[in-house]
Amino acid sequence: MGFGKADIAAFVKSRAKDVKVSDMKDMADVLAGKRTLSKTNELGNNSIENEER
Amino acid sequence: MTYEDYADLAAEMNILLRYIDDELVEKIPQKIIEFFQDIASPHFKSRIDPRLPLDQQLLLPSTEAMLTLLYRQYWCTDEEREELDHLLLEGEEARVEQDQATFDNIFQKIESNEVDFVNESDNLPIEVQENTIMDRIRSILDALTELFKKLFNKD
Repeated sequence: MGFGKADIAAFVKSRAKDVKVSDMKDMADVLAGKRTLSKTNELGNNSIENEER
Repeated sequence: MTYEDYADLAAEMNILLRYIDDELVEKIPQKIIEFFQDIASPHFKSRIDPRLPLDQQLLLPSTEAMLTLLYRQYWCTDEEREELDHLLLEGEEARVEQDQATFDNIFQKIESNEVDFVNESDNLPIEVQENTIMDRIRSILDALTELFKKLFNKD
């Protein structure tokens, strides 16, 4: 038996104060394709391109 | 977050989704499931133990944020979303206050060392500033809902 809605609801509420809305927005932008991700380059700098579609 | 962060997050989400009830997973748009599958790191070592309840799992902070996003968008009722948003805003408010306390502490240290420094923060309308931040966060939460409706509405 897996994790159900009640388990997830309790978990999410217990962590909500530590979750940053800005992180959620970043994830939403990535999932929506509004921001593309690039792998870390040879210099070790992460390159992230912003794309507003 | 970097690409590598997302790769780890995706790998952990792929594993976590195996243990989440099918009826909930089915509510997530296929595009999102495929995104997790596409970018998942093959090197990520999961600490998920299906024998333990969810609140005892050692998840990445980013996985917790993603779970919050999915719960807010696909699994909760409107009332539950309002309750969650309230908790999210409380957390943001606490961080703003903590940041302000940190800044105040820095200024106190500067003043105690008699550094010639003009404390311009005294002139800033802090309450107005905080309200603006909270309004912005509320608008971000509203925008998230609309964004997902437009892009991933399965109906």
